[in-house]
Amino acid sequence: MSLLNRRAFKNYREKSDEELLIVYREGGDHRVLTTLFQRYTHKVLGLCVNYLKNYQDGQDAAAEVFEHLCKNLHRYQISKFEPWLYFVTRNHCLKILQRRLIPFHEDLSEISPEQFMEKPGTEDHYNEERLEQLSDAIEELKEDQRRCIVLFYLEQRSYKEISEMTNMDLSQVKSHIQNGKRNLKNTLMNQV
Amino acid sequence: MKKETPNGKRSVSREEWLQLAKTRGSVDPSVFDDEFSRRAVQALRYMPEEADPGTVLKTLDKVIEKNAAPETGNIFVLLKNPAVWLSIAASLLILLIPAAIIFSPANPQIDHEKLYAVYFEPIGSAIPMTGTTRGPENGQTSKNSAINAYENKNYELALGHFQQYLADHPDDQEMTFYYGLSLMASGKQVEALPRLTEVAESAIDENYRHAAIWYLALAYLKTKNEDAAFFLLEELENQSENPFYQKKAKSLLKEFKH
Repeated sequence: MSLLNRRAFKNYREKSDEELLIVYREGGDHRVLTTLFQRYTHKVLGLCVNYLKNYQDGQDAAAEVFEHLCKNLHRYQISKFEPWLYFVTRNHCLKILQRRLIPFHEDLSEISPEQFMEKPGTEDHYNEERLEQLSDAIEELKEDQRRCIVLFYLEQRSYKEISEMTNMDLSQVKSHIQNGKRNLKNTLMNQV
Repeated sequence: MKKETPNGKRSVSREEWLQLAKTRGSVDPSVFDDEFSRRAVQALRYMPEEADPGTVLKTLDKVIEKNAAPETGNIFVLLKNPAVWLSIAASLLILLIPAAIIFSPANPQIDHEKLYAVYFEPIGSAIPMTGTTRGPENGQTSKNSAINAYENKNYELALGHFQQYLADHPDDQEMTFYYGLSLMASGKQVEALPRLTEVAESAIDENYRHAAIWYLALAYLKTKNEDAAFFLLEELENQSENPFYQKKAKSLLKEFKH
């Protein structure tokens, strides 16, 4: 990076998010975007991992969020950048979750009295709120149940694969998934 | 480490998140006031033992840099981007620096000559001299002759040898650096500027890079371009990898402010 570029970065670093957005809208300098987005690399990565419950998937989702925003930021009207970025990232993760959970539609309907998908088998319509509640409820599970539920539903692993990955025998895996489902149902019922 | 958001709430900074990542999320996320931070910290429990979060963040930073950069290949697309015009302006600025040196009025309160005399001292060469071969002068002998003359403070003589060597080895950053210093020691600061800039901007070795920035700042000081000197000294003051030049820069900046 040239000394002049470093000087520009230094100037940008001293600005607030909203000031950077103004600079970007006025000139579109790509270094403004770099400065702005790199303030939140850790948070976007963390949020994606938090929703998807898997580090690699979280990295991929975070990269997709940034790729999309680098090319499309100019299309959005943003007043407060950080909360806006939170919701953009969250929505992207919920869409990924939705796609993953389609094959488990019946299971999820069993867990929750309200359907997660308004139109089963599609990703066009989904109940964001319920998906978010499900994601949060998974966080509340006991460690073994959480691991098995995440591997089974979100990573779509078989019982055998989960058994090999966790060093649990098949009956334990099945038991953790069953108990996990029951606990998820209870948590979600209480939230209704 | 702890970052306060504009409305006074506590948010997790990148440094703090990386620090917490070492403990794999053994912190209570509820200490953070915003949902973004809480979830980002909560996610640390999903980080595998072998994962290096610092590397992952850098990878994502590169994704941002790559995607934020203007598209290349189409000159019309490039010219539509104001960033390209900024780059062109920056290049013009570099070209105009010598003119600015000549025409811009210097701050009369700064005794450039005196400060330069106090702070400029060519650093000893770190390049070892190796065996020479008999016969016509080759690259190694001109390198040795240049370093030898430089060490003996015979800078005028060193200049000829440096030029001869660098004509065949233009990418040798170490020798370019000492050539720049020889030019400065010979009173040719304007000629030294492009040489030292080259090292300051592209040296792989951080020690040479910091040293080049320091001498570049002095060259600008001598040529009465205080803005450029001030900016470079601030660069050195704000870095912490090289305390030697950080201290020197701090001291010289104090003189500027007096």
